[in-house]
Amino acid sequence: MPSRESAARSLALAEEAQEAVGSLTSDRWYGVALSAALAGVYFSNLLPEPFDLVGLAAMYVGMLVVLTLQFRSSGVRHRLTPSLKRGMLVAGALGLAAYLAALALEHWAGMSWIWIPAGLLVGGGVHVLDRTARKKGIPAQ
Amino acid sequence: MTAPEDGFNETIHAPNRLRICAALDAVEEIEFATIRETLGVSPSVLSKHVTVLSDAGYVEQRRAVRDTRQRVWLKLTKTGRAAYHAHLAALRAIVSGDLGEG
Repeated sequence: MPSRESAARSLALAEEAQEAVGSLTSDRWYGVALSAALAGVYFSNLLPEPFDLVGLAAMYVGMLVVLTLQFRSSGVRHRLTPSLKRGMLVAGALGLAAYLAALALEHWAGMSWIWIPAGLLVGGGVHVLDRTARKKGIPAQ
Repeated sequence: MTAPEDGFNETIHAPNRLRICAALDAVEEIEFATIRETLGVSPSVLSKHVTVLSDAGYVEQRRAVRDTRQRVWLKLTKTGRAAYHAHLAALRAIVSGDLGEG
């Protein structure tokens, strides 16, 4: 059995290693591209028909391409912790709510410009959340 | 009833192996080169410790091709994760002086 000091040092070592790996991020480029594509989904609603649908489809394909490239290039697969799952669900729900709210405002109040702040809010929000989550890392249990 | 210090694990306790287990516990899976760079150890040292952990059934290795090169991915097994958590509990018990003596 190690001494109390030695055990404390071991715990610190474990915590340090866990935080170092927990904060590993993929290239900054992926996060920016994903947020831009997400904002593009909102901005595509500003295009006249039928280009809005073409733009929407292009942005979705762009998002899938970025996600695939990110997955393939990354040397780490982070654990989906319960809090991370919760965060993803909340972000998805907020994104959908923002989309539906912007759609309603455009339809009922003629505020087509609402897609710009909505896209910036959702794209920027996802980008900031992604950077913050990775910087924090996953604390030792 | 088992005391926390019963989870103390000599195989995991070696500093490099403890760091490897801690790193693997934080992720689902990690590439050999990535964990080596993150922990700052040489390939031979990492390989040696991973072999010990694999032999104990704590770490699983998977080979996959990425960018035409074969890469090794490492992950903690269920047994490995349980052993690592038990070891952490034992260390915490030692630090807090909460040993189940007597």
